[in-house]
Amino acid sequence: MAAATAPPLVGLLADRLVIAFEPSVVSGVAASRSLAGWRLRSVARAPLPAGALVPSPLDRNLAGTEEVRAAVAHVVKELGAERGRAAVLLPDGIGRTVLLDTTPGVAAREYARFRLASTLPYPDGEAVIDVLPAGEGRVLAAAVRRPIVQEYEAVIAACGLVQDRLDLAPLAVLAGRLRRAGDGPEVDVILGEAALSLAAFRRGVLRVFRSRRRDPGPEEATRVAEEADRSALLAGDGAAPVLRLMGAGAGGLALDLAQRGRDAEVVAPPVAPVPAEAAELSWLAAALA
Amino acid sequence: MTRPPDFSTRPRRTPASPGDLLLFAAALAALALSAHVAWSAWTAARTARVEAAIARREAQGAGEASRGLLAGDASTSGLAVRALLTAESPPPRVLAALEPLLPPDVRLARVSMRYGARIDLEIQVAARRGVAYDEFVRRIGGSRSFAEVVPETEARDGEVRATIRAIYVGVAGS
Repeated sequence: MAAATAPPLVGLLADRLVIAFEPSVVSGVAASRSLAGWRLRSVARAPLPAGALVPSPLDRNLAGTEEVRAAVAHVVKELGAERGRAAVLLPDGIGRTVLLDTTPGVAAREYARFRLASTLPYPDGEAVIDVLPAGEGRVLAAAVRRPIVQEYEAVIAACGLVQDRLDLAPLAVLAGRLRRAGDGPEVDVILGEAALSLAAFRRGVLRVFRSRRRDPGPEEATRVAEEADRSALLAGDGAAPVLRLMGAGAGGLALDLAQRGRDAEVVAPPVAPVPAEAAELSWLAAALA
Repeated sequence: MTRPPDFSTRPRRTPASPGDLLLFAAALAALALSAHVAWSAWTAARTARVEAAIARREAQGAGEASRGLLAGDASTSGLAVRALLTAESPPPRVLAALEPLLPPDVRLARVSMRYGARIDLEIQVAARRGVAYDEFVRRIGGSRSFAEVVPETEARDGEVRATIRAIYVGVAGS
């Protein structure tokens, strides 16, 4: 268990607390608003025993509820944020996503429910569905099974936190990236511990979003490069896209790609210096946006 | 502004529409206005209470002062009584007491009031018919606002012109 604390900054308006779940660790950051914007105040992490949290879109995620609760409590204590109001990020690999073109005058969330309903392996009444506007009339819609969300919410409540927004980590990352996308073909690879998401941009607009289970090993770099090229092709551009890696294991994956002759950029959190505990928090930029 | 996704299972709050915001602003304005009106009314009521208390004290003081003056020497008591009578029975009130006693054919030609230890009246009336004049005399004689009614000069040449003396005793009604 570790905590990194930056020099405290005086919060002028409010504090922000984010708690994120991954299979091996619970992470949290506290940020304060200053005249210069949101500033990272402290970072804390608490490891989880193997099998305590297993991301799944269908089945129960928290096999070790007590261990997960203890980890969250530790993070909250390290951050000095007891009884705070926390935004919660759930791990990649528990939601089903689809990029949709919306029709003017039609409620995007209702349309997403209509489109997702036939693809879900459970009744759509059990689905919590929301959308992320992606520009040019498109939305990235995602569905998460309600009992799974409730598992995480129960842990947050048990730790005395007031739950604020609850989001999926890859969507939170993407929300921050949508504002920074460049003009050329780019593929963002958002790495969670259990799954990864590929977001292909062309001319600054999100064209493709796909999720894949991770299979760490010597061949993962090759598979990721192939999936990124396929995403760029689906986005309508066959040229080799710029690969941007962020999240769990981004540094190692970039090294593996380089050894295979493929350049990749690792997107670092927008803080300087980057605390070691925050180096691979893909969602940190979004938390401080 | 784009709303970030929220997959919480708690009930969602519907975002306020511009119409909702407009209604909310109108409600706030109405609340502020009613608060202002209530505050003004409360302030006015408080001022009125204070003024009433002051007037009550002044009246009480004036009563005590007049009683003191009445109990004093004769040279000052006349003045005091006159002041008291003028304050309590001003000429408009005396005239107002006379008005309902006048039959349709009788009008007041002149009324002289002399404020002293009492209010002496000299009432000159003109009546088209003698019967009407007699009715006026009967009415003022029976009125509880007037006493010591004495008809004096009287000229009957077609219409009646007459002078009546009386004192005003200030009893309400007639």
